[in-house]
Amino acid sequence: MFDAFLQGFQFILRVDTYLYIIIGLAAGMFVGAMPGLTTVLALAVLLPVSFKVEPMLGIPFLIGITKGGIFGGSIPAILVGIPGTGASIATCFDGPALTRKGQARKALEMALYASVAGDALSDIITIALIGFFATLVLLIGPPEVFAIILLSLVLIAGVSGESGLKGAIAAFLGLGLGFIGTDATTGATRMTFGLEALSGGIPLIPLIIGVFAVPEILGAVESKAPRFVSERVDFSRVGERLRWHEFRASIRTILRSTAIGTWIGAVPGVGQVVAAFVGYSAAKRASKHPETFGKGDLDGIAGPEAANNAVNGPTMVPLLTLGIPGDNTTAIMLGAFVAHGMRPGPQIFQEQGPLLYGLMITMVLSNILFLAVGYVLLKPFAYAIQMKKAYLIPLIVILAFVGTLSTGDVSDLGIMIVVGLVAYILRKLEFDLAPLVIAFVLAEPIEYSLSQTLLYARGSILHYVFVARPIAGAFMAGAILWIAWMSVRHRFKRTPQPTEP
Amino acid sequence: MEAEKPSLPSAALARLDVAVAALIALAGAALSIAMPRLVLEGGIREAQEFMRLTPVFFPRLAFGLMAVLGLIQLVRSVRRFPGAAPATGESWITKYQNPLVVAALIVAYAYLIPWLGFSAAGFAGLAFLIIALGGRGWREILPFALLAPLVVRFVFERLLLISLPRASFEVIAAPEEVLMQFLSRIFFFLRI
Repeated sequence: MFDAFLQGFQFILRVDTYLYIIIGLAAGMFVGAMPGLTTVLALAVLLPVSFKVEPMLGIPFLIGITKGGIFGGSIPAILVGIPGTGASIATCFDGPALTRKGQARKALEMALYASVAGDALSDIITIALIGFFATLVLLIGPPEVFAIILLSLVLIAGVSGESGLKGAIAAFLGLGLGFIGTDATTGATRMTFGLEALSGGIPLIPLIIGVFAVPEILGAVESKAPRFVSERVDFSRVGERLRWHEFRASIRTILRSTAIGTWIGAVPGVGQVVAAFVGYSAAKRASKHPETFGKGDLDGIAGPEAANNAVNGPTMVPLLTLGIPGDNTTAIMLGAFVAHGMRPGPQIFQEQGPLLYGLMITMVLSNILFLAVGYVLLKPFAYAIQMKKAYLIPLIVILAFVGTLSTGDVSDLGIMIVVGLVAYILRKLEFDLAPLVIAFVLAEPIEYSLSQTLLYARGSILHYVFVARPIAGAFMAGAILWIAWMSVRHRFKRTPQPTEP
Repeated sequence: MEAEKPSLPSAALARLDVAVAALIALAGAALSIAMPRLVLEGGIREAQEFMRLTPVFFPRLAFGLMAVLGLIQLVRSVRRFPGAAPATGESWITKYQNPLVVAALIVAYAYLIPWLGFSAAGFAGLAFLIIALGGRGWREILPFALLAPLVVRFVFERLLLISLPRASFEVIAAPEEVLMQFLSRIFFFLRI
């Protein structure tokens, strides 16, 4: 594995890789800075760009979008108190207060430095640990793969709203869509309803764009306000730059939040929003002056920003070693890897170790560009948040169409629109759609591994899983216990009483 | 993942919640029952005989569980229904006017693409979308609606080699092709 790591350095010397990262960072920051639009939207509509170039260009491009998008959300959060993305909600506690005190520039720079530091450190931890996990997963077989996928789906569905019930339904809808087409185990064709076009299954790109882009577009136009942000931003009154001693005072907070974000990132389904809140409350608890939090404390920016960006790296561990995406972002990343003929899973480090290490080293190095691009683009994007929806939304629509048409089949537009409209209705009803896409991409591996498990079990499945394969048994038990806990928790949870209008 | 929102749903959304839950339960049950008939003949016969998991078993199990969960959701939605916020003066059509218009324009845009090609359909689609979203003044709308699809087409088709649909009518397709070739010659150094 160490040889693969060293060989990975040969892939990092390409200038065009860094050019794609810069474009990705800028695109991600721009979309992230628009309240109402998310990083996932940018990833979904720009995913096809990554297919048309080599993996060493396309995947770093997507990584750039993710890094830039999470940070971009903090710009409106600090300047006008409106979070650009869910990950920057916690930044709204202290960001606007610092702006009111005339310290917006300090807050923005702290957000940037904390984001870069959290991201870079967690990427380094990821590189250090991923080889160990990749070696470990080589020891597991189909029963363990089945049990881990099952536990992941249960966890991902469980952390969505409504005590996980709607998340679980979304996961089953995703599995159902994944069954359409040819069964990978037996070659039989299922659920095509007589349509030849469905024999190859539902294509991933229209599904991703439909699920993630269309509901966001429709959601963004619900408000009749002409702009996402109506408050006027005046960058000439943002105050002084962040001083070294101010940053040094927050280093402890950044390190703590990085550890929190790294840990949360490795758990499927939890994600950046939770990491940011935990990072914020940990910073407040550890502070000698907790009373200043919420009134404009730079630690209140450093805590959530380092934590939410630190989630990025570790989400790649379950994705690359087990082929399990833990959130929307990694589900889209999985699509990019598969399109490049790289199926993440236990074997990928054996087959393409140097390339993967090359990608991860690039991920670490891209943080230097993140710092530079973030610094240069702070001011233009601070003004860009006031862009008119009437021009921005049509541009996103046209990019969503290009993304779908990249499959070369015009009829995929129909799939994208139908899926998108259904996804919009489901989102209005508070269904979390991440389990849908994740279950869709995992439908084939889960059925295949279950099929192999049943074959090995020779009729005594319970004995085989819980006695002969204790690791699989432990994961299965974990899934069962989690389902039981979610059911019990819901029973004891207080339901809100309807109030008189 | 988004945090759970404790707010009460509106009456229209509560009704929709009930309908969607019922639909999910019904669809799950129907697909689970009809699964053997939804598997076509073909595939690798030997594999189907050798494997213990038939192509029917897992989908049937998944749809069956989906039906059960849909049923639980239906019960919850019906129980929550009396607690739904009463209708306000604004009807749901007024509230969702913009999303409905944008959705209709997206559908129309998709229908136009095979006829008019990517750029011309894009011009029409963009122009109507901008107007629907409150853009005013032809001096702003026209250049944006005209240039954006052309720039997008050039970047994605000529630089990233993503093939985009051509118009069925030569009168639209030919000048567009000439323009793309012209742009390709100017920006030759950008080609991958």
